[in-house]
Amino acid sequence: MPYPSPIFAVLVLLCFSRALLPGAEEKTAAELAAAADTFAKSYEKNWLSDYTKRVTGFAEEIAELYSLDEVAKKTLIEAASPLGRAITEHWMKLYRGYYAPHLKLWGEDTYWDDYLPLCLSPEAIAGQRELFAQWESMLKAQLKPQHYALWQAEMKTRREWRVRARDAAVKIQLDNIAKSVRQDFDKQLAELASLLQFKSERIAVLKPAVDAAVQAHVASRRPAAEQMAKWCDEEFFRYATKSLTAWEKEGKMGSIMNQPAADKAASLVFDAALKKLLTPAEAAQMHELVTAKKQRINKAAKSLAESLLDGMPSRGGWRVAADTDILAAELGLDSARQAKITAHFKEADKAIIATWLKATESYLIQRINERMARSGNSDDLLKQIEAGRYGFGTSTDDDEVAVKAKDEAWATALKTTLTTDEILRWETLQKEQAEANSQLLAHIAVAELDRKLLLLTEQRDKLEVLAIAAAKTLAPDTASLQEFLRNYGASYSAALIHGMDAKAVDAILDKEQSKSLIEIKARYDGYWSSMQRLKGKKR
Amino acid sequence: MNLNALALFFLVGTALLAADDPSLPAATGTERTQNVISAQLSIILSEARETQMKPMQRTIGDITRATHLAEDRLKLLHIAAHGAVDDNIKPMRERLLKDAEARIKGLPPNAVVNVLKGMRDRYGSTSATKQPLWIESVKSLLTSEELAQWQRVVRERNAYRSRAYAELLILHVRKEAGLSPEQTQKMRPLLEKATSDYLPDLSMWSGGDDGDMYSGYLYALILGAPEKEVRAVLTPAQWDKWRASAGEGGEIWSSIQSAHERRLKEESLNP
Repeated sequence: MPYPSPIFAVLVLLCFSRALLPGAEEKTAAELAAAADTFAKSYEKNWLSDYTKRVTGFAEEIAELYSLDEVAKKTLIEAASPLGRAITEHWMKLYRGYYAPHLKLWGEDTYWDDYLPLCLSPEAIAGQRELFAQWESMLKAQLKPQHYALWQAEMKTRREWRVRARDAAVKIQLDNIAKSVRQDFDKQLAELASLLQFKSERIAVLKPAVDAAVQAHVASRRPAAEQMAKWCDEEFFRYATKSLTAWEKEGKMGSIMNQPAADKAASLVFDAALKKLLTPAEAAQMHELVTAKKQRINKAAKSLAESLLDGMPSRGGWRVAADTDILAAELGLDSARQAKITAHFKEADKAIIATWLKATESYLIQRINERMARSGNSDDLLKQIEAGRYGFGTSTDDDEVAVKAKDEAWATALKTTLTTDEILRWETLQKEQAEANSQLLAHIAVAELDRKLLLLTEQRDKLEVLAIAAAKTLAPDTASLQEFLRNYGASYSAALIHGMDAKAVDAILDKEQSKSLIEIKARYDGYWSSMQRLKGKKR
Repeated sequence: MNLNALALFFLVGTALLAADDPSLPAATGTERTQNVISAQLSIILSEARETQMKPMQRTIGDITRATHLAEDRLKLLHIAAHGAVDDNIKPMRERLLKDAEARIKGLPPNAVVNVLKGMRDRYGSTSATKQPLWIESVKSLLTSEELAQWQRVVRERNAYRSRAYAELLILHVRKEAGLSPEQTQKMRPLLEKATSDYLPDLSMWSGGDDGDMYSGYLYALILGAPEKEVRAVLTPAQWDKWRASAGEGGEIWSSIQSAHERRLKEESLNP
């Protein structure tokens, strides 16, 4: 969002700059290589691995289009398949080489605009074109000449459509961006007028500055849009088969990034115009007002962060006394050793809380500023926020950092207090507990499904076997399981149905129950992914 | 939209059109409003009937699975279910009329429609399975063996659910009150009995028989374990933690107890 003062602009830039976030610190070469490898693997899984599917799907489409017989279709698909793997390997190689230096800069978060330069690098394009040439040779060899010629004509039509759709999408997106930026500036003008009690004629002087700022913003984002469009041209295998109607009609081509830089460019233009308009006294007054507002926002964020501390997800399952009580009871520790663990843990807790509070304050400042910008920097809204009448959540990233730190503190506390035998016993008990938790989750899930499906005893027994098998793949630890049940309600354990063998479930139910199950599955569909996050969690 | 609802919407439309049709004998303002109320009431009651039939059909499905009931008796059971739903709806109709009268006084027909539409969701949530007609029909249509067979299925289902939730309570108190393995073992039967006794009474706080169970209220059942026996197992410090572990469930515990007493009384009247 553009802001009318350099102070705000700097603040916004600070909030957006990922280089200043935790995780961007210097890493060793080995750490970078490992992180790049993990990252590339996750991309392979989530993004690249479908190339084989795309290429073979493409071959299937051709077979369908020209009514190839089964043998010809199979041969074509078999010839196309290695190409899918080759494309994946091509990108994996590039990703591995690319991510190490970028991880050093950005930390482990990477966005679309971060790897767009990779997609458009000469090696990427050359490799992609080479693979496309292989695809063409393969088709030429596999298809009858008349089919190959028809296919070439088809590709020409699709390319024309793609170019048209792509250009339409870029235009729609940039127009939408311009509209939204203009609205933001209009809000800023209204705020400015009210802040300094300007008459409308005086503020009207800034209208041309708004036009120029909007233009500067769009001009800054246009290269990113064009780069993205260029990438869509090169990414033959991803886009040649895709329906592009949504591009053409709604501009849905992926978001055009580069927003922080564009905001900066727009703010520079606007602030220069503002500087000319304001007298030194007004500028000083505005500076004072902006500083005062910033202080109020910081204070509100601090107080909000403190009030959110108790609800912090990691702390919900983090009950030092309860954890050490269980530990002491299970291992038969005397009170002195229990007190030692508690003291160690509480000491670490102080540091973790301090880190969390600091990170959460920054996060809330950003959120408050965003919310204020949307409401035209309304003072009434700020008053509501200050009075604690406006709710904000915490950042999942910050929460996860705290959870990780807590886990480490707990492990250190145990290591320094328990003997090796005791640690082993404790770990065994934890494994047994995870097993018992799986059973518990399965039992509640079956009980809840039973409430809706009205199962016979023998049906329930069979369903329980499937539920236990599904729950065992999650093996949740106690704190995570409790957190899930607390956040969503015990009934949502029925989402476990999505992890059960669907065919086996169907074989257990009668027709009427199977019909009900469709509704139940739809009802709990979204919660299965939350439940899957229990997998492998260790608190 | 099913045909029934379609016909009823047609009815309301006709009532509204008739209110302004110059070819018809002029109706008085009161008559026009009455026409609209009747038509809208029919829609509300038809929807309530449809909603209440769903759990009845599920129950019939349950009985059929448990007893393999023959087709002729199954048909009679369906008729009884419709009758029970009608009986269940009768007082709702009276209440609705009474409430509506106060709210629509002096309003034009179109505004009356909106007010009545807004009242739709406030009626008809009670289950028709408690209607005497249904209870008696089930008893007379099933043989004593079949009835016992179905009741066994229901009992086993409830017992399974009670045990599952007792396990959850055990996990919770074990952590919250720091119970040793021995203490946990001693608490198990107490909590199993607490869930078995009070879980049915929680339905009011979990959206009825088919609603979603909120864990916060579930922990209220911890307080259902007899204090004397719990105290005998725990240290005084653990006892405080035990009580506190009910969390916000503690706020509704006395209401659960009242609901429990009411249910037991009802059950003693309709064994």
